[in-house]
Amino acid sequence: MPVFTSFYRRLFVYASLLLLFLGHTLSTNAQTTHALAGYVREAKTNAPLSGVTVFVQEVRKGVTTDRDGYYILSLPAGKYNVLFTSVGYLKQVQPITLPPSQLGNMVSLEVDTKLLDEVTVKTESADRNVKKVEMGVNQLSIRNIKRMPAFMGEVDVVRSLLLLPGVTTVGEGATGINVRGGSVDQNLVMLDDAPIYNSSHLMGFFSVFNPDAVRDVTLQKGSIPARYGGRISSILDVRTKEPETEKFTVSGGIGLVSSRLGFEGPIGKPKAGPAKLSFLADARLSANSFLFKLGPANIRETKANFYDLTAKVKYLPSEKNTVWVSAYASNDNIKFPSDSLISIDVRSSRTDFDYQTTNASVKWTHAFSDQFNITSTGVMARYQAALSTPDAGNAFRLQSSLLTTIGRVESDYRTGRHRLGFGVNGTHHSLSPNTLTPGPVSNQLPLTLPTEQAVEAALYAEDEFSVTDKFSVIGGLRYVQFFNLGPTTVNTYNPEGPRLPDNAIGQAIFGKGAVAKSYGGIEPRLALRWAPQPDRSVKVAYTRMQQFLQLITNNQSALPTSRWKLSDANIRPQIGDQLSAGYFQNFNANTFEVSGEVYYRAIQDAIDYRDGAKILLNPTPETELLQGDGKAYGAEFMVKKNKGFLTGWASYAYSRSLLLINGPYAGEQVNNGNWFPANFDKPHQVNIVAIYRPTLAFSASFNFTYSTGRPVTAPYAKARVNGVLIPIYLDRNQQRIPDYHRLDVSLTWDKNPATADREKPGKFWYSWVFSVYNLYARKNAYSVFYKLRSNSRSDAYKLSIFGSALPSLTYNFKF
Amino acid sequence: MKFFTYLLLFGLLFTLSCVTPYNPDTQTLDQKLIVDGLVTDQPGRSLITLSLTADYTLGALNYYATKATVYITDNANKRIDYKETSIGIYQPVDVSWKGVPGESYTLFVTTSDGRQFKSTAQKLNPVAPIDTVYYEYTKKPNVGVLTFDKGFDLYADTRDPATPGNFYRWSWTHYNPLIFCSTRDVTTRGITTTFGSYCCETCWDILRCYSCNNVASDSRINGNKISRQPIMRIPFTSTERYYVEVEQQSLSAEGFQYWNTVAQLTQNNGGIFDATPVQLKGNITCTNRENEPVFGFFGASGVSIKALFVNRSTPTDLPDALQLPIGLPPPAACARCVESAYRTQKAPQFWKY
Repeated sequence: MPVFTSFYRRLFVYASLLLLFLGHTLSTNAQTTHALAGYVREAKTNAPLSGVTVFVQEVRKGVTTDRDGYYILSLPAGKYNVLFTSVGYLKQVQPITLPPSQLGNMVSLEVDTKLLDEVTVKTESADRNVKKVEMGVNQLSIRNIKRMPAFMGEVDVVRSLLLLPGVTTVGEGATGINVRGGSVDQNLVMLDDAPIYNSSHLMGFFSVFNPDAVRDVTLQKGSIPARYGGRISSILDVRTKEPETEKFTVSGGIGLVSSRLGFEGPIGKPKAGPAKLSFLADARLSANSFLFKLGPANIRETKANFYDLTAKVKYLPSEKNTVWVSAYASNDNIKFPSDSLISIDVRSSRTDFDYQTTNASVKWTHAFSDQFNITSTGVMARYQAALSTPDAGNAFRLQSSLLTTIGRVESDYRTGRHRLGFGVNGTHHSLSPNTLTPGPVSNQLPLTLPTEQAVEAALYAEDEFSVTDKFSVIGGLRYVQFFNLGPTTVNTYNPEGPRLPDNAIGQAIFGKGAVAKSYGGIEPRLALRWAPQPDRSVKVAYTRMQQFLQLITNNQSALPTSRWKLSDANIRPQIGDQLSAGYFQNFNANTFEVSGEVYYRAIQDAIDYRDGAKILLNPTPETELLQGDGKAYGAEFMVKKNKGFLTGWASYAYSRSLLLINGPYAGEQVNNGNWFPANFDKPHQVNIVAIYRPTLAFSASFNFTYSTGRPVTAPYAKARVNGVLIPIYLDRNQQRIPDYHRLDVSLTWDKNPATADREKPGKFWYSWVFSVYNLYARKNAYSVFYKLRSNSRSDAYKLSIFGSALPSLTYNFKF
Repeated sequence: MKFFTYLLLFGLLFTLSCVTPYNPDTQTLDQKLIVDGLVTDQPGRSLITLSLTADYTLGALNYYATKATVYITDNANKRIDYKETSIGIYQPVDVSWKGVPGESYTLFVTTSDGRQFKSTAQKLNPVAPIDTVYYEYTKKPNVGVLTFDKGFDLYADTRDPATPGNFYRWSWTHYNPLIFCSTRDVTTRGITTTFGSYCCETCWDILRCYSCNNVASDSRINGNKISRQPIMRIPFTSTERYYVEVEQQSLSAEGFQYWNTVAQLTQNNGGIFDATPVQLKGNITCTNRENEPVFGFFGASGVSIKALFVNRSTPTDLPDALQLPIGLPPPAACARCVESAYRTQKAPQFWKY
């Protein structure tokens, strides 16, 4: 429909009115028409609404309102139903009888709260789950994440993923997530293409992603596109927002845990149109050490602080080119008043942890045509972690660092029923496992473990082919060659005995750049979709992934300082093969989504450890590692409601994760060489998320989560040796801690945003958010420990870290 | 557009965490042998204790394994026979026997039901002397109450030899001179009064470090000084001097590994950052029954001792009150000082009057 400028339209209106009037009074025309004209406004604010469709159903004739909300129609005499519709407003039907002409027909439209959700939140089509070939993909937009109840008022990207089926954690406060029975390091976590090696602030309580900077989060746990590789469980892709190109904005927040400040806007904005250059920068800083001072004496000396910075610059030199430059830095500093560093044979009065992530990436997309584009990406990602103690005589700092450099070129070509992707990827890892630096007057000896270098070169091709309307397929192949490079020294061990330092029979020394060991293999990716009807589909997928970089730790949950290890001549890469199948159906015009998925993953060379393994500062970690088989399998069911006043989902997941470590020599078996559950094996999981938004001014959200307790190792007997009571453990993970369940509630009151024009400065808007974590104050077990105390009647104890309801109140305002 | 968030937090965040008793299913294991043995280069300090495993509950008791045949052999396969001196405790038949540094010893045990056990050979390494022993008075608030934990932290410094592979273990023995050798409680109208009988002879109570597991390795400090190694916390219950003998033992690499793993196991509190629990096997195996589990450790250690008197009169704080018995007025019979593992008439080795 042509759009007239207001002036000409107004002129046209008056001219037509005049003509109509003349026509009516003079009756010069047999076919008499009458005018219907007026303004459409928003009900609460009386603000004029432009672009409202005014449609006369009987004659199938329509116009849209102009910038001032004005419309005019000419109709023959008769009775009509006129429909007023606009995105984000409740539609209105008005019965009209002409004649007489109605030149002042004022219409007020009510804001539609549920429709507003649909329009503003969705980045993908509503039937994505049925239509897409890929499966096992969950995308959460930051708007949805922000509406869920937040722990201590901190909107947390990673914590919200725990409400998805198949995503669990070892415990509240543990680092990272376990996806479909995979360990924490089997997820590739990326922020704007750069890998994040530790996604947690403060050991594990908060995630490193600043919610103000994040646009959306995608978790891929089923079929993984061929362009991704390097981890065997899942891909977690966190994307930052596209910077605002129209105007400069400042956002921020002050909280008890952290405070945020962000800027975004154009740089050198031209008079008309969007700027070519725009940026965003968001900072988050915690100042919560004072919280510990309010606590009991034993934690009063604890200090914990973090900050993170997220920045992005977007440059649009021409229509065909887009360049993004992203940078991210995070820093954590935690001081525990007393902790034993027994794992590295040092006793100290204080333990300090600090860890940093520093990432930068450049991405350039060039579109050769509408069908063909090439994206080139360069990434540098560094993770550093250190453990230190300040005691004069024992002072030291134990530092580790991992520097990853990635170069990637990916192309995308669409033609007819095909969508082709191919690309190359080169990743270089430089890993400095442990460097011990003594303090100035310390008795500690300096030690530097040699650095490890490796290159992971990958080549992939993928075709998404819609064979028919009902059947489509994604076939991909990824070939990866991994090179462990010198300078390095490779120990060879006597194959006739256990792999222990005493059994080393030789050493091979490799110079700088020499290939010490190479692994390679093809990773097939296949996904099939068959849709017998447009609203339902059946999908099957097979994915193979190889992992050359792993976190090795024999703690139940990884510490920030846990050691990363590249595959080498003695440590084989882990290979995961996952087969999954699912059924997807949508009802009531995509209002309800129902899905069921089953999966089975076999892992070759899964990693476990010898009893009492020492990993830190160990020059030969391969002598402490045991490699065996792993398997993870399960089923996930989900019902999701996307539209209406009430949205949300309910899901159930059954998942198992088992390991088999059965080496030929003594000390190389776990549980006598039988399958045993992994630390994060939690078979049953139920999640319910509900967001009720009856009006724009109020919303309430609830989430409920239930999961089976994680396995623990319970002692079989006690022994007293030299007066020391020693628990005797025989097999691992044979008992479970009590089941976990929790209900959170969040209530939000907005000052009706309709009464305040947020686009105009000076208007005041506020909201209150009241949320309660663990509403019914269940004392969920964080851990169970066995301690015999003479003054107690119990043999075991349960530790709950959030044993009561935790309310928080947030006040937001904008002006 | 400006956007500010004010976050207010109610709730007492740090009163949220709590520890509650929990009763899981108890798992059971038949009674298996536990060996606790040490050979030292000091006479009378080479004991072997044999006991049996018990369920991991408060009520279960570790019974002693009696009537076993116990002996050790040295490098030359010379046999040193042991006899059971008290229930479950075996000592060399020759009371004055002591280990020789440089020799390796192997333990052989045959239980009364015919199971035979053998340890690995353990070399008795000499140990460096303790450099200095010193103490510091500290006062720490007790958690949850308005009282203070007052005491003296005792530390040892030692010089590690230049050779790598030295492993240490520390222990202590406290001798407390006695006034009353026996006490009797009399309750009248609900009030309990303790009366004491004076000792007939000079007498000392012996307090040993029970459940001490204080080990270190020179892997990180080889050839340097081991400084501020914590030994014990001496209670501030009196301004009287406090006599303590600090023992420094050498450990074999195997022994260090064992005791260090024990330390990790006993330190685990079930948290998610704990080390994975391990099956602690020790260095003893059953020779005539396959897959017969046996626990515990047989070790050989050199021992060096340093004694000191802690002057407890320096702090300006008042000592924690200790309820002393009321001496019975004369003429009352004195109580004998009976020699035992816990009491002696002999003045300690380094005692000064």
